[in-house]
Amino acid sequence: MKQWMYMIAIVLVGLYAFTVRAQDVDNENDTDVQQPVIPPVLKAEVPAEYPPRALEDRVESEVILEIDIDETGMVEGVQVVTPAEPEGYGFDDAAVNAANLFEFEPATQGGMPIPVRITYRTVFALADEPLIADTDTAENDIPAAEEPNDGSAIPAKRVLNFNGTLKERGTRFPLAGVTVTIFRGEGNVAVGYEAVTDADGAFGFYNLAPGKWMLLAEPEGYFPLRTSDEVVKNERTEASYYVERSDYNPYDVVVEGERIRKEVSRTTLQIEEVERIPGTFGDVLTVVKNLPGVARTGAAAGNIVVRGSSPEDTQVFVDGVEVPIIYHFGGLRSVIPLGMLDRLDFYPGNFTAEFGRATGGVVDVRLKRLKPEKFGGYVDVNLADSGIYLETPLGEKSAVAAAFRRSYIDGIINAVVPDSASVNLITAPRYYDYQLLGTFRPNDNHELSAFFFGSDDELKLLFENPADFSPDLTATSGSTSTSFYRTVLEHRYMPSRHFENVFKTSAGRNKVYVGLGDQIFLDLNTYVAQIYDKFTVSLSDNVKIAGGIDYLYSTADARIKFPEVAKEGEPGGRPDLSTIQYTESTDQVSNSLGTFLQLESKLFDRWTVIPGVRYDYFSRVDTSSLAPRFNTRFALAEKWTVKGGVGVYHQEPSFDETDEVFGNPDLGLEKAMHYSVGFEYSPLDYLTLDVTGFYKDMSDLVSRTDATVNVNGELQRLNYVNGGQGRVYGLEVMLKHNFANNFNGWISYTLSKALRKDVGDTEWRRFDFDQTHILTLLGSYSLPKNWTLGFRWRVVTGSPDTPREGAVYSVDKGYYEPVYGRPNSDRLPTFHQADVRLDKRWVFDAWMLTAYLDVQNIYNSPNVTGYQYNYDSTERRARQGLPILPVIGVKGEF
Amino acid sequence: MSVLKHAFTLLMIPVAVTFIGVFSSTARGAELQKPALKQGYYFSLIPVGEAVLVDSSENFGPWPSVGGQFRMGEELNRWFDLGLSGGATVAYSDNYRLIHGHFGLDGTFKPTAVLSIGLQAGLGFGDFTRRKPGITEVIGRFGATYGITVSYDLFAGSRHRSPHQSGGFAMSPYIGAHIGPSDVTSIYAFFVGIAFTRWTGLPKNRLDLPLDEAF
Amino acid sequence: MTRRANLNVVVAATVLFAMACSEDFEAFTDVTKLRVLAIQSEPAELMPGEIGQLSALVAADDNASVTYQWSWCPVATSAIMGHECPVTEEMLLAAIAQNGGGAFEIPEGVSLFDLGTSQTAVFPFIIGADVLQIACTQLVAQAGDQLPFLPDCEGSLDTTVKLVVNDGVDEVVVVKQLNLLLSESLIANRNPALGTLTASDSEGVSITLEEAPGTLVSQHGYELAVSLSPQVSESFETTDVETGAIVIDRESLFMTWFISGGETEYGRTSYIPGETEFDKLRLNTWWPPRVAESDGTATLYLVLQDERGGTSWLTRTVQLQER
Repeated sequence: MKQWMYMIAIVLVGLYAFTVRAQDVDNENDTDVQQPVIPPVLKAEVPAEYPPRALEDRVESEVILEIDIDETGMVEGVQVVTPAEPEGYGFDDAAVNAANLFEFEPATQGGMPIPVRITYRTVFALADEPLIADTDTAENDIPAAEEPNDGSAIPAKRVLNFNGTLKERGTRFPLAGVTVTIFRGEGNVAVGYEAVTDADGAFGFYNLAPGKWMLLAEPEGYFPLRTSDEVVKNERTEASYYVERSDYNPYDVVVEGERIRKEVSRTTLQIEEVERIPGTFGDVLTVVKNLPGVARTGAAAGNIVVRGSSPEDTQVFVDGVEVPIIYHFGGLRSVIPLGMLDRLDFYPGNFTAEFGRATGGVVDVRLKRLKPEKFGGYVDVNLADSGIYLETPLGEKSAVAAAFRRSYIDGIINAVVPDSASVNLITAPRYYDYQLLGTFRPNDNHELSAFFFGSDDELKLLFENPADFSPDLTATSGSTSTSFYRTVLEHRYMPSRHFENVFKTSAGRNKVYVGLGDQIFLDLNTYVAQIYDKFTVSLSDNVKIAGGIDYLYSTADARIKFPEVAKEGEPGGRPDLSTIQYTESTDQVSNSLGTFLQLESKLFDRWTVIPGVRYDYFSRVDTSSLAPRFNTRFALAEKWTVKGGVGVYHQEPSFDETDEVFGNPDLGLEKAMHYSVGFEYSPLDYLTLDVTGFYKDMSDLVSRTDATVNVNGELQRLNYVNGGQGRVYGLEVMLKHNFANNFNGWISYTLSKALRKDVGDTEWRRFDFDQTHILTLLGSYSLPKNWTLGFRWRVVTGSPDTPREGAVYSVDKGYYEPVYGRPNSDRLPTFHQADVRLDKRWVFDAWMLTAYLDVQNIYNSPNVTGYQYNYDSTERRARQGLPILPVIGVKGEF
Repeated sequence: MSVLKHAFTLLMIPVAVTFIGVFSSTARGAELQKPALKQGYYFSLIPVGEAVLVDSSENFGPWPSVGGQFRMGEELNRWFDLGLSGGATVAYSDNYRLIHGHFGLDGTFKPTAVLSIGLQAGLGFGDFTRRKPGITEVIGRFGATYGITVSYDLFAGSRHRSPHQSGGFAMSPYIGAHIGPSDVTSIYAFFVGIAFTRWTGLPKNRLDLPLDEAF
Repeated sequence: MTRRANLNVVVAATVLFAMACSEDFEAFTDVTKLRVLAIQSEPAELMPGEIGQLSALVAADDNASVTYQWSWCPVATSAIMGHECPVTEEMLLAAIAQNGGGAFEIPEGVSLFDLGTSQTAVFPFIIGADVLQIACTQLVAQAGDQLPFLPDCEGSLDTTVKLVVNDGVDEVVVVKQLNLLLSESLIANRNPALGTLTASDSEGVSITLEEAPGTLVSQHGYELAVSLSPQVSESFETTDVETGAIVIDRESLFMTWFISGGETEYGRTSYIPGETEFDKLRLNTWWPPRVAESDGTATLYLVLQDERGGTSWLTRTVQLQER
């Protein structure tokens, strides 16, 4: 068998010329004869068997045959026109035997099938030798058709005088294995030849007579290439041809098979499916907000509220590495462009022991495993920013990608805001981010990658008259800047299918400054390092053990002069500048060590059981925690799976809450118990229904207190204690239509109740983002001619609101201080909004241009995002969210 | 404002998608199209005359106004075109001035070869100034606008055209209405005009042509 | 800083808080209903034994019958608690008594907390500084958890004066911090002094606005200037929040330009030593209202305040005439 395969490999595809058989043509009238003849197409080719003795002696040869083909495409007869040399090896018989088994699409003339006789050359060539012995050696490796002299003999000297390449329009990918036909009419005879493109899309023709030739290629799924070219005597015609795919549907991408699901709740979004969702500007993290279990937050709010947990309770990783900021300016745009990403995994709860330090959910943004086939990239231009992404292979084993993006909102705002405005933007919101990714695969067992990325945001304001804003504002300027960078090195070791180890290390710096002159500021400079290692051992096909270590180190310099800021459950509004306090620290070291071990076993081929345990140590609160977790899935039937999970989760209080001045250094960990149960139903390959009920019991939540403590004889505020409780329960439904039938989308619905009880409270109150009903309908439909229509419609119960019951005028502060009612006892009106996005792609030879119009809030729903009060809180008006907003952008890909 | 008030938009999206989905199957893939006049990209310039009503704290109008619209897009298949549209009209007298316009998505259904029904949704804006002795009242509006248009396409030289011609130039009587609903200020406009439309046609390699014309 | 890094968002929101305020509402400085625009204590801060004269700048309809209710609280109150006093008179007296403050006796018929219902009120600093210091310490020890702010029992004790004004239609609740100096080494703040107010137009016409109404042209821009000495911004000792050291600082001042009609360029102006020019504080532009929109007169209420609670004001009513 192996030898047979070898022989197939070394026998070159036969190439042929054809003539309309005279006896048949004679029967046609003259008019019909003048019509061009479409040559027969070889649809079932049987390779000639390489004669064993010739193979042994390493002898090459070729045989010219004449093949008669009838109207049905069957071979009627085969004659040897030019026998093989040297004789005696059996080349002739091998060629004739093979040709007798050929099947063709019949030749046609005027749409009618006709019998033809073709001249066919069978070449017997060995792989390590030039495929065609040719005096013109430069193109020896190009498979080429040749016109035999008079259709019956090989010329003494063959000249390659037509040389072309066939590529996909727009992407420049070479098209291999495509049959290219060149033909023309010569008197009553139509002459044509075929060649098949090689891996580089190259093809060639020999000894074409001078004159005009028609070229035809009809690759499957592409519009045909129909063109004509001139062959000039004693010149070689060189040409590149681009054929256009019938549809550059973004959903034509090859999507990796669904990874084995272990968790009770996990949604994986491929980057291709999120790019064209309206209202998200292709921002992958923003798309998370459309998944079940995630509450709606403001239009540009970057906080992700998962199953009634505060935004800070949800961890966001980039390939498993913690990042300080995921959005520019808290929600404007995520800091890593789409080009760098592969997919996003979202775990709203009951995540396995691999993830820790979070009591809410986990968002894990996965980087692309770089495997570019050519130098390419894109340039993305929209109203807010522009970005460029480039990637290229570096030999067979390496690749590198780089990206950069910068905003120009500053330029737009400065152009619009008059100089006489009460606030001058010295630096209007300006952001940029940059990424460099490289991979190296020395062999199948090792994969090394390095990723360097960072981001920088800045905003500076100048107040023309500070008193206009607040009488207690004594600063004439305000600014905020946030920057970070990280270097991540990763080594993936896969010596066998039974073992895999992933080692990562990252280091970098976070720098945050926000302030109002010298009056208020927060100046943080943190150096961080992380070491992560995860191993997976497959003991059998059904039993796997995974474990690892995750160590975080940071050292921070901080200068903070700040008033009291509102926490969850507390009304926001104007901060009381009389509560300003100051703290300063240098080289404040913090360590977090996490280890985990979990067993993944499949019992009876249908029951997956994943017990795991995680141990964490947090140096800032000098506390350790042990968190057992258990997930299970049971395949009831081919399309039905039931699932459930229970687990313990811990996290540290925030840095300000454990600060000696602003917080309480004696705080402990916050804790949550997650319970989930549900089922999945997949009626069709591309359709899944996931229904999950959940309950989350949170305890030891950090809660503000007026309690005092005696420190060295001095009475001080305790500020915070671990006295809060939380309770969240609900149901999540996700009906997802994966890439199929030109459509991709989902319906997600969440029914939930999220409650909190602060220290000292006797009654439960609503959580800040307690939204009873959250419904999202979302989809993108790929239309003909490279148009895509996307839509999103959301209906969400209004968020809780704390009413004002009056106000007291503080003459010293110069403003009315609101008197609030019970926290979150009121609700904003129901939110509903539809967004529509239209994409159109134009395909040029070497690149593609996509333009989009994204109309947010297309029916201008006057959604209430909060209330605005007059100076003494006796009148209020609804503060409305985003009005109808058309946004345009373009993206050029090459 | 209730969800139902905008049922038009909400319905239009799934209806359009379904419509396109059902009828587009034949135009997908690399199948070649029969040559037709309404093929390729189109661009329309439409001078219009309009009657505009403003419904604010009191009703104003209707006023005659003049202006222009444009529509641009691409033929998706035999039944449907997709693109953008926009336009503005001005009404002016000694007592008032009204500028009213729109910009947004535009989908055209083609029940017959010469009849086009366009549906539009997008952003609308209006600026209405009314002058009374001593007082100048200004009402502005910014919000969603929906529209419907009907046109009958008369192609130039269609009698003499080749059956293999793709694209062409059409002059079309054109009528329609734009509605900008709002709780505060709504605008209603009814217009007539003539659309001058140029269809680029399809390149030869996308057309089902006899061989002698295909190359 | 990986978690709850949203502080910068909070502060950015703070920075932009006032920018977001709607102009649809009536401006804070437009006086169109019952308002208490300022409260003054003379002296601004009380030394032991001193008597504070409390007065309020109240804007009300001439025909309205306005009632006043003054009260005092020995600690600072907070908005979160609705500015209710967390300490009762009994608690204070008990704290005094427990610590040998028996020497202190409340005069017959005098209430410590209730300051009466007159248009003005009197607050006598009759509790000895030493007695108050001890009582304060005792209160903090016993009821510190109930106090919104922990008081400074040895230096400047922040107490609260509350005034409730009612005209039968509206009720306005106003609070003012009243500092009692418990250490004799402290120097009391003084109320800033306001000079004369002039209104000049672009044509060079300048009018000094006296208590007797002058006449201004409606909707005509007048540059308002108050004569003020930069010395109004006093130097004072304060604790630097960052270093904890005692430093000499100069007062920031802010002026609120309340008006009964028309428009001003600024609602408030301020002087921030080292940051803004002093003239920025005392200059503004006023476009008086149309005669038809007022009763033919317009009133300007200037309230000058320093950052330590010192307050003074000036009220000027003008006759209006159409151009």
